Amino acid sequence: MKVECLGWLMDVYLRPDGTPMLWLIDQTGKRWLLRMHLPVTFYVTGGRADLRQAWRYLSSRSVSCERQDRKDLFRGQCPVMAVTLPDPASAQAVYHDLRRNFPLLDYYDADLPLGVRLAGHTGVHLLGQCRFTTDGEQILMLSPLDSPWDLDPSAPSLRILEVELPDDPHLSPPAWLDLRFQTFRYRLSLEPLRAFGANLRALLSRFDPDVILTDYGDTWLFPFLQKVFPEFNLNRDPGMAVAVRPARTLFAYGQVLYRGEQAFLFGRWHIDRRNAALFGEIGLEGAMELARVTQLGVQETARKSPGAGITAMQMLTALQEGVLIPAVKQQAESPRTLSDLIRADRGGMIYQPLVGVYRHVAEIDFASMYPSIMVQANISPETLAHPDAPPGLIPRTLTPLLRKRLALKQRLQTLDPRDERIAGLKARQSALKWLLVVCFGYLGYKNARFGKVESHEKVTALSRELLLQAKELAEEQGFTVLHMYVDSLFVHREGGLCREDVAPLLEAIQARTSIGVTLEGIYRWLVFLPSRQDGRTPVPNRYFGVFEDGTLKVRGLALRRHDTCAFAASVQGEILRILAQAEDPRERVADARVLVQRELQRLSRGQIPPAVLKVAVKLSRAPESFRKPGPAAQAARLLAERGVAVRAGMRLHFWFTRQGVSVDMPAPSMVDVDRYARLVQRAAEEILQPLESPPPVPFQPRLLFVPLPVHPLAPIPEGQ
Amino acid sequence: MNDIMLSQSFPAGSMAVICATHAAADHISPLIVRLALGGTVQVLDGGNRLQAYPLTRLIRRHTPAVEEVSQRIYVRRAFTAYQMLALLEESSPSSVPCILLDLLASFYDETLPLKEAQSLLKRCLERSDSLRVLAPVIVTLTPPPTPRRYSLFEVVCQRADALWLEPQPSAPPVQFSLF
Amino acid sequence: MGRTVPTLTRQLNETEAALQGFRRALRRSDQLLLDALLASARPHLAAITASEMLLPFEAALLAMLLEQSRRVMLLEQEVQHLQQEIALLRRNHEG
Repeated sequence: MKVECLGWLMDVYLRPDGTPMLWLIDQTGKRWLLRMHLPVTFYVTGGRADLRQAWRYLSSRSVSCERQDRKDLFRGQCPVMAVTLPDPASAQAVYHDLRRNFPLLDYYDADLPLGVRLAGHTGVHLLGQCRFTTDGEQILMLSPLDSPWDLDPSAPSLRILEVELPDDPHLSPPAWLDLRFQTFRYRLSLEPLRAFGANLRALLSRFDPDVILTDYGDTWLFPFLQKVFPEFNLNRDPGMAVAVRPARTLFAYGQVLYRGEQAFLFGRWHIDRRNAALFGEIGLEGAMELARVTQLGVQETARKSPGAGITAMQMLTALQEGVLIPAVKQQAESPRTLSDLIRADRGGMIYQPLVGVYRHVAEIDFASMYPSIMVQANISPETLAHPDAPPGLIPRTLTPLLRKRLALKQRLQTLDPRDERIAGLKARQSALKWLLVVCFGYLGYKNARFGKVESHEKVTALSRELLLQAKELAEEQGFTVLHMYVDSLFVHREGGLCREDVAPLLEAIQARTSIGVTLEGIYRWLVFLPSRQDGRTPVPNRYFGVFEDGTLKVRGLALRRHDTCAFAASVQGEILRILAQAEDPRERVADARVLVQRELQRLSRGQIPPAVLKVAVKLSRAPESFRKPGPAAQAARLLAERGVAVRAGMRLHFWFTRQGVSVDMPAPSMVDVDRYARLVQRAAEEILQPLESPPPVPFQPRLLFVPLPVHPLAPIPEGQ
Repeated sequence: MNDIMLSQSFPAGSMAVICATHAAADHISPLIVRLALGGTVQVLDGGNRLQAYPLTRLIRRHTPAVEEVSQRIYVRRAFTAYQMLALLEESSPSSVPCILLDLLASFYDETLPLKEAQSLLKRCLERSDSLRVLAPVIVTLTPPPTPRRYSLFEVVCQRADALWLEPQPSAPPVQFSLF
Repeated sequence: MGRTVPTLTRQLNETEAALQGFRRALRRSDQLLLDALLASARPHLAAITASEMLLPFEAALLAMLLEQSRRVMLLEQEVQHLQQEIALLRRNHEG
């Protein structure tokens, strides 16, 4: 019996037999898992003889081929061999087989993410609203009802089950799990195991969640469940097993990377909050927004770097426009001379700050500078040599993204701060921001399908020019430029400034550069710090300051680094809060010092809970290759001794104790108080010392902008 | 190693392989300059190893015409093994000496399957064979960061007419000492 | 993706390291002057980069000269100021 429904496309995946499966939720709340017919065509070009052989090879295996003309981004229309298979899995198999046998041929459209294929084929995007007809087993018709660029997409309400653990299971096996579903709370004891299994199964079938949010689900819980209950399937789709991708340490991008295990579900999502890079910032709403615009599944967007999303978006643009998508990027750099290379290969503009304490500083930011330049200057690998060409593939991909983010930002500004939609809008806005942040890097990125290093360089060259123009305009209007960093500009004027003073500068910059600029804010005061190694040398992007509304902004201090223990970070935070109360931070240094002394005393009396003394360090090499083990290597050895598989690239947590280091939380009396005191003092001095010592004399930067004076003559006391 | 290498002559038809940490970046710069002082030289950089400013400083030691000599050093960079192959395939045999800097860097990247790396390398080496007919090809390498990729390194070394290997500091896997 | 052309900071560090022989042979007091002179170029890294010199140390030398000019100018102002004060004192004294 045929039914027609309105609903949302939640996910798409392949069954082991190669059948594409769609997970949909309809308007009535019914969950559907339906098969779909999704034929796939990929294309092959190359030398005639090879191509003819490949044709024969495929014909002998009854694969259908056809000669077609398709558009190559760089070469225009060109003849290709189109290979069509009934489903993505067999297309994948034929492609790999062909490539093995004919490595000299070039392959296109061969390895696209399933979501991209589906969107290209049906126009229905992930998380999109759609109309579908089904016989209960299979999709018979599927059509889109909205666009990924809609500002207010509708979404079904999701059933979310949260699973929390009492502690890091890698250090000590947990005794229980805490489960939360709406208003329900359950504590499931892991012993006896049989009862635990039965309870978990019962809860799962009772709530039938769409999303399982866990702590350590990837690296512990799901692998554990698989081991103790091999027949227990957490998927909604009974035809699928939980996909556990093994942990890997691999050498890539010139460094050692570690990726923990990952557990993916089918017909529902699993997200491990501890193993999802951006999830803390963007949450489920943000991960869904990323899926909506990139066509990568929510379980992917929650875990992966947004770079993969940018690549997928470019693929969809190309697919929709019939442009061939190369399976491996082969665009190599054009030759140039050493002197040309030196002149071209420079990064963004970094202007050394004038070290010191300043009052009334305005920070002006170019909004999404790099992507805006890419759209405005039509930077795309195929338009590099033709600046007047119609918008290239990259600008076409980025334009709707820039528009949507801007619209969300504007919406946020107009809403009442108590509006309950704000959190969701913010999450979506910052998810899109991440895509825009990485899109520039992906222009030259080695695996980007449509990248070219030269376009990358052109963007940085334009960005430097923009900042120089902004600097000139600021100086024309009587401002002193204190610092420039890639896409932001810090200006100052003797005698103070307010928003109204800066408005004409913003207008002038926007008029000259045609790129949007915003006033990040006016700092009541701002301190630019010198290099930690050399107090004479200014370093970019190391500062702290407080805006007029009391908000702090900090760059390059210990509290921003991952390896700083929470205690040292909180002391820095407290110091900054004390300073933030003053009109001039130097007035409150003495108060801050009192605080530091008090905290050090609490430390020496053992009053600091060891939980906040935990240190986290990323292991740079394999643990056995350390000659003189530093603390991280010692922690690695301790973990290895208790059977934890420690690998390079992992982040290790430990404490400094009187015996060295400990990977278990020590008793307060065992903590290495002296070591933590040194860490705290160093963190405090990082902020306080520059406030006490004037900048180094001969090159005191503030002298730079003293207007050439006619010194008022000092009155001479009478009687002399 | 510097002096030995500089005193060598590299005849057309030969392939020299130099293996050292940082892909012999320190040793190869004087050689590039020596070649550039005499004519054009082509550098295909597979691992971002070209030392741009040290090269100009070295040139300045020989001649004030830094700009002129820098214009004779042609550089192309590859960031993936595919691009390295594309670079080699786009270069045609000429009398210009060719230096392949850190040839294997992107082949060591484990996001590239080993089989694929092997097949791409085979094609790269076939291509470099045809490039060296009229001028020498000089290859620099880094020792493989993981034993899983050792076979690639071996293949290139076996192909060399002259091979320089920097003595590796003998660092047996060390026992952890107690604090 | 890393860049091929190293950052100027590294490049200047290398040039300064190459000057170690020169530095060692200077008297201690002159060594300090040299260090200060070299450090005075650092706030101008952005301009040195923008100069596009193949030998950036040449631009760094200009930056050092610029800082010297600034000092000369400030000292001139100071002298002028002191001279005016002396003149005033003299006038008061004589008057």
